[in-house]
Amino acid sequence: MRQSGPIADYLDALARELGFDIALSRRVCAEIEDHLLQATDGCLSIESQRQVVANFGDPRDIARQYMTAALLAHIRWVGLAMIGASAAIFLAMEARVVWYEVMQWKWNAEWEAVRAIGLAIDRCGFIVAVSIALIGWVYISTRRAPIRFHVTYSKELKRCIVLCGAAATGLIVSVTIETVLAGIRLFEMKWSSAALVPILSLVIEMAAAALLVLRIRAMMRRTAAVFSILGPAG
Amino acid sequence: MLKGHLDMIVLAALTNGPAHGYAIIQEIQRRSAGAFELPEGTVYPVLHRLEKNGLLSSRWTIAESGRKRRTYTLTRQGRQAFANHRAVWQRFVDAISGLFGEASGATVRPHR
Repeated sequence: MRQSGPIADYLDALARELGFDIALSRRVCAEIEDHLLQATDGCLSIESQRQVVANFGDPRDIARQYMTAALLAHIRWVGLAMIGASAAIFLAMEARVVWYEVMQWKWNAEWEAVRAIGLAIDRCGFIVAVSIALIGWVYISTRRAPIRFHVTYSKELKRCIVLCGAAATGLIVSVTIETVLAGIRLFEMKWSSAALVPILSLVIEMAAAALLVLRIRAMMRRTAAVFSILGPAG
Repeated sequence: MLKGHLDMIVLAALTNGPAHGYAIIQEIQRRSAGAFELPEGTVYPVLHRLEKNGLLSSRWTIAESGRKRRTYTLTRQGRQAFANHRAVWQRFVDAISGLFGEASGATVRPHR
């Protein structure tokens, strides 16, 4: 446990300033605590601690310098989640189609038109989503964190979020239609335990899309928090 | 002026091998003969950013004191980036040296 004193106060202030990213805050505070204690050279008098803290710099300035890299790291995770969600949804879809063929479950002719339209929208939505996800992934992975925030970097981050949002929208459209089509098919059939396979595949698709949406939402909140700290000048 | 070259300075301090933040600052001061008195806290965000950009890797180690300590190492990409920085810097130094060499032979006229 940390003893009270200027070093502890400084670390508390730094943790508050880094509040936009709790994991980063923990890591940075642990690292800087080691630095500050090493700098005191074993002399933990109040005066010595004050001197060490003064040499280290303003916690607000230091926290701001972490923002660019921290946001980029998070947006990379969102990019990864976008690719992962696309892959999971694709595999679940394919598994369901294979299962239908194995079980020889046919469509009722009266729903054929609904199926044709649904599948066309579904395919279109999924292809658009995957294309945007791939473009987004390349765009995100080629970004570099600058020393300080500037307008171009803010625009790049916003562009990354828009690309992730567009890919997520495409995936949600696709999953929604898949759910409706599978629902119609299952509704028309006699209930059996074999229906658990398509249901499970739908749950996987929905979970993948939901996780992606949650990641994007967290990223948007984090970005908004950083922008509000930086103010309109960014 | 230093701020624009912090990346290169930090990369240079790590060319001798892995080090933690405090040791990196000491190394910068030692190699620059005390000319680069950086506010100590500015080095850590630079280390973090260089790591996120793939130029450094880091891991937690346990110091003799028993405290957790983050140790940084140059990656291959980091070594390449440092070599590029150094080449650009050398060209700049050569150009300025040439310019100043010519200038030292010229007579300086006072303004009227």
